[in-house]
Amino acid sequence: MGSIQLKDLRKSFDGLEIIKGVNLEIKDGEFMVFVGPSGCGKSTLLRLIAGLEEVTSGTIISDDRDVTRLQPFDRHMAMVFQSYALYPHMTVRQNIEFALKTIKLPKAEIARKTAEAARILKLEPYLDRKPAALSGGQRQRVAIGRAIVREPSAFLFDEPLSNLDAALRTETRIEIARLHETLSGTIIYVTHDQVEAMTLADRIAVLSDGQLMQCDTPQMLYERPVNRFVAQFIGSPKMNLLPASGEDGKTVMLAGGSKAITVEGGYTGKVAELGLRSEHLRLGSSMDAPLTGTVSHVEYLGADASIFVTLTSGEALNLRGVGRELPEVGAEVGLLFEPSDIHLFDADGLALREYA
Amino acid sequence: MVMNAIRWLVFAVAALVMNFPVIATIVTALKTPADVISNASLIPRAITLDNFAAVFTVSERLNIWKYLWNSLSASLIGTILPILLCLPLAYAIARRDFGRDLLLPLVVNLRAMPLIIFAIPLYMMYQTLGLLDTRFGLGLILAVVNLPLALVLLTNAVAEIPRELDEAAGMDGARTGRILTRLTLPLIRPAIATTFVFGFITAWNEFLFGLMLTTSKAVPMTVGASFFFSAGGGGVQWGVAAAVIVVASAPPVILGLIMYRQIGRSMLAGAVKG
Repeated sequence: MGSIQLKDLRKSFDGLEIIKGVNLEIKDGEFMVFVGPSGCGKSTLLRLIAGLEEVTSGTIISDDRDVTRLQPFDRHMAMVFQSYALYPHMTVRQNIEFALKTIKLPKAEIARKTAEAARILKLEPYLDRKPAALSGGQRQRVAIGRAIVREPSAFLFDEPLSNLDAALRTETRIEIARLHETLSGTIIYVTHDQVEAMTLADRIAVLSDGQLMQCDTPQMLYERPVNRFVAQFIGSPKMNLLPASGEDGKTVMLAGGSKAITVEGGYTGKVAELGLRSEHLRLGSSMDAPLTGTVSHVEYLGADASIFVTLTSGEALNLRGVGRELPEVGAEVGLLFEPSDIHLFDADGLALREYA
Repeated sequence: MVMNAIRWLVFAVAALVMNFPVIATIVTALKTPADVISNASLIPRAITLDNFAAVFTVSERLNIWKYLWNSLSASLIGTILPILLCLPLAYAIARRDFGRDLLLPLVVNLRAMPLIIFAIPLYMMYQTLGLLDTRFGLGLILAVVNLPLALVLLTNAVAEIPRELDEAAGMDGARTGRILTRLTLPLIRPAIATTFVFGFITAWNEFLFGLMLTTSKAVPMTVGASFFFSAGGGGVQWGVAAAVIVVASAPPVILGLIMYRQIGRSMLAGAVKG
């Protein structure tokens, strides 16, 4: 079991509120990712759940038990730190055994659990080494091993891959995904990397400035962001935003545009901005396109290319092109898109589109 | 080649000049009484161990073994006690911010005061408590002398341990006691060794309190050594005096050589990503 509920969770440091009332329910066995820019409070939120920081107000429920004021260990959660935090004077085996020895399990059981963890994490050849004699990836696995022997109700990961190089990061990411399938425990995973978030998560909680912006599946965050922040944070490159207007609930008009765009499903509110992801824009002839401009810069990426266009109205846009069909810099181009792909935001940045 | 030779020559001269008092003392201890008076050279005409033998037999009143034992026991009290006292305090200061603003500077500044200030009140206190001329009493005051250094060294060592290690141990179910003994203590072992060596040397070489607070039973080596200067009656026996100084200086020097490798080492490699 490993369900966790956060109820109006708040945390202040020296009078400054860092976590501003977070409500969230994490289901048993779920892979939940907290994502957000640095300073958004995602690590603090994780530390509150772990019990490493004291909650200022609000409640943390774990498996129908109020754990808000409990010591970290009594919450039955295990944490993998960003820095690994291995005990440097102990061997890999002693590191993994430490928690089990602390609760004074019988020797045979400690040995069995340690061997099992070492097998799962392929650490068997290194059990008698000290952390200093291990590579970054191996240290990472020891940190995970230390967590899994405890058979906790939830695993907490604090940016576990940020210290690894790019190749190892991808590899370890896949390992963590596999580990989640094997262990089927609840995982809360903090990262600032949206690729990690999108690839690993069952659901992603996007945080900004100590507040929960949106919590949903990766698909829903990408397709239906609830506000401008989420829209721009999820997806790479950032979603293009253009000034637009409309309040009839059916059509919108781009600033300086001549043709109204009919919004499928309609919307509610007063439109201020129209959002388009770069992959939903296509190059076309400048004659019949709703947007026209000149190509200002092209970044060739192999299969893809990032094409930067300065619109006639002065706005800058980027779109994803095909690597083998690059336009010339300075060429006059038209930009096409499907009306179903647009996102609409009001002046406060709230998403306005209605979905069936 | 020539440059190298010059460089070594400079080193040799520097070593000789800086160690001159040590060399002179050792050489004097190895000379015969006649040689001490007539031959000022650093090379003795004949080498003798008579002076060292005399140290142990020169007078019935003077028992060098007793002085060594007094110094050893008082120095160990004066070194180990501050370490024991400062360990939990260092943890509290480094981890709980307890007393960092007031207690730490206060204790450290204690060291800046001339120790003679403590002389009169301490003597009167010791008299009342019956601590005069006891090894324990001498050890206690040496502990006070060593406390500031121990506190600074140990506090810095604890502060250097990444906080995540404590947090990880906390997540693993360890309470403060277990964190302190299984994690903090082994990780600050080099700092404890450093504190021990420096503390022991300070305690062993202490003279003022030894002179003031002891009379016969608990006289430490430093004070006892001075008795030997005129031990044979008549004039100063330089050879015997030099020999007793060599014997008196040996323990801290040997300790320093043994512990040298422990000093300044770090136990933290591999704890967190470096």
